[in-house]
Amino acid sequence: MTISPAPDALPADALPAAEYERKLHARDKTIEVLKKRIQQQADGGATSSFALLEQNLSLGKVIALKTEEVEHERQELEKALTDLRQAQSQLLQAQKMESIGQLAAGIAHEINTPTQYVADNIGFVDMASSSLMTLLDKTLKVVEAARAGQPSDGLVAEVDAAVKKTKLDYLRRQIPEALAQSKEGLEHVARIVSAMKEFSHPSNGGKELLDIREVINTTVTVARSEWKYVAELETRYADDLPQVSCLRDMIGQVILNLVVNAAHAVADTLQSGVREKGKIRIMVKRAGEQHIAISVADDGSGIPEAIRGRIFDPFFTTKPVGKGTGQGLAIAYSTVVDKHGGEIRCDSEVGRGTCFTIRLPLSADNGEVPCR
Amino acid sequence: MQVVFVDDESRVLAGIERTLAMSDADWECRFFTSGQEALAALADCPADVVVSDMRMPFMDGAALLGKVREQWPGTLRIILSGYSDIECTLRMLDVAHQFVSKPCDNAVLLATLEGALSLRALFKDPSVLDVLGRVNRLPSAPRVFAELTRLLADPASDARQVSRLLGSDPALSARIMQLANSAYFTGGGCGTIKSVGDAINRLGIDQVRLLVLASQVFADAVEDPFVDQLQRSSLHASKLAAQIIDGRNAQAATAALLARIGLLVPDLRDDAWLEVKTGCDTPLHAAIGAYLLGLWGLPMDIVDAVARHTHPGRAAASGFGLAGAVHVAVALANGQTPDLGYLERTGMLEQWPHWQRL
Repeated sequence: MTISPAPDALPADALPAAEYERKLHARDKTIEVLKKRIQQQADGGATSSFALLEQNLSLGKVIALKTEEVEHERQELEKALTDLRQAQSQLLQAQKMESIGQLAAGIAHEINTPTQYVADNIGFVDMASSSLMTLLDKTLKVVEAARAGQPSDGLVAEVDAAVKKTKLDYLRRQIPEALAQSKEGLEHVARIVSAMKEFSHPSNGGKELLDIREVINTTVTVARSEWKYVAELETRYADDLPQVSCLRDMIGQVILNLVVNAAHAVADTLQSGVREKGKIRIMVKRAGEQHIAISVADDGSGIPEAIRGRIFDPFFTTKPVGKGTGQGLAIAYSTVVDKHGGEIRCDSEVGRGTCFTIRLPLSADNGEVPCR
Repeated sequence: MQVVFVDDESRVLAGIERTLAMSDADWECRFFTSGQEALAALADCPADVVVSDMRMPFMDGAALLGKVREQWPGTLRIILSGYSDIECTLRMLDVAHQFVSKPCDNAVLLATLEGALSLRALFKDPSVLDVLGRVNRLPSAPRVFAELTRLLADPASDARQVSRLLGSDPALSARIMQLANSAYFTGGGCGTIKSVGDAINRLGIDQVRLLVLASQVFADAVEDPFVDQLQRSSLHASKLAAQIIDGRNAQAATAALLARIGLLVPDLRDDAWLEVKTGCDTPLHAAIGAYLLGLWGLPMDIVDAVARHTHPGRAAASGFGLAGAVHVAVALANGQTPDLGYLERTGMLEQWPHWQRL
């Protein structure tokens, strides 16, 4: 089934902000009305009597006092509004840091593993090269002796013995393999480090035209240790993708939240001998002239119907304490809907899986730029 | 000697295989990329040591080693992992004898394996096998101690749960109180400890663990004077070991407390057994004691220190360390002189007069 978030699923911080603005507006109106009335009284004050003057004076005082009060309140409300905006951006940053923190142990593992075998292989090549050098020296002695016209059986026997000891066949096979695997290992480390740099680097506050595939690939690499033990992850990109104008780090964060959720949903369904790995599929295609659609689908446990209406609520979580703060989907919602003017929806069936689909508008002003 | 390596990254296995190929080790090594494969192979031919990665798809290292513990309790279990998540670390402490973190120098890995295999060689000594074969029933792991260890490993547990667990066995609680109030723990001068909670507050959780261990291991002390005497000297040694080596208090105290545990095996309850040696020249009771602790899943450092506590200098890596501290403490507690030549070699001889005054 399909659900769109209910209106009450708006992020909580959006409500107080609107409320403050409404209040501010109301105060301004009050001041306006009071000013008008005093003006009217002043204008219509032809019947000048002392009493009227006195009345006007005291009314003026009251108004001055009220104006001051209201102005004070106005300043307070404005400050509250600024604080709220700041808190919201801090919350976003905090969630980003939190997910990087959660990823850190997995990333350390992703780096430590190749480091282990690269170090082992270097140790191996080191020892192999020193025994090969010994063999080479002995062989050169034989060559020298031959050149001097004094071939020596003793030297040849030494070479034979060294050959036996050196396990030549083994080294011939293993050295190139050890070097090739080490190279792969180092490439793997370099890839993760650069993806981490890319992922954690904040965009400079503004939207930029991006190849969304790069954002997704970076995120998938950073989060690899979150999914690789429970699922195969496949990415499918349409050929005709235009660039999308977006906040790079925030969209990356949304993809990360969805991938981590998918991995958790899949992990819940694994069973020995029956189903040892699930599947996560990320697809990107065009959706009409003005949008692209990114979908993150899993074949995990699915979301029970009873809670589907609340999944985008801030602090709503079904995960055990310490596993999630319930911010992931709320932030996905506010990023996609509020910050990018897009849409996010969730299709889910218990026992079959869940698919989140994000529709992002293409760049509105600059026209269409194809991905390279 | 049979060694099994398990890692889902085949390149790690290839790296280890190459390291072993260039070393002098002549172990029979088998390599598997999943826990399931390893278990199937172990069923055909068990191993002396299993070295496993922690994070693997579906069956992780802790799950694999848990199964190995169930089916082949004598096999030594080592985790080799680059994963540092605290929850996982605690889970593996429960099932592994030792944890080696990736990346590790290949010399470290080789030394760890050599240590494990020399312990296994000791356990396979004919005289040890003979005793193990004759004894009908080996003392089982102290249940409450094992549960306590698990409880302490669980970040969600608290002091109240610990009190409840210990309170569940009144006889045990009574013995814990009795020991807690003995001179060994309180030093005699800080008032009476009235409850388990009180003991936790006043002595700290590490000390209470020791108390529980001592209460359970030496449970027969009440009716058997030999055990009573053994308990007294063990507690004394435990306290001395903690003073001799400051940095690793808890481990040294535990190892010294358990150093002579082999003498608790019913057939060996006699001082005469102190003199009987295995083929490897280790006292038979130390070998049996170490074997028991290995079965109970205590860390390999402690198992090793117990195995070597009479001859600490014999191992390949001979610093002073845990085995040295346990050696000196046990000797002192039993009115013997430690191996002064060994103290000299490890540069600890000048400490000896100071230790004698402890």
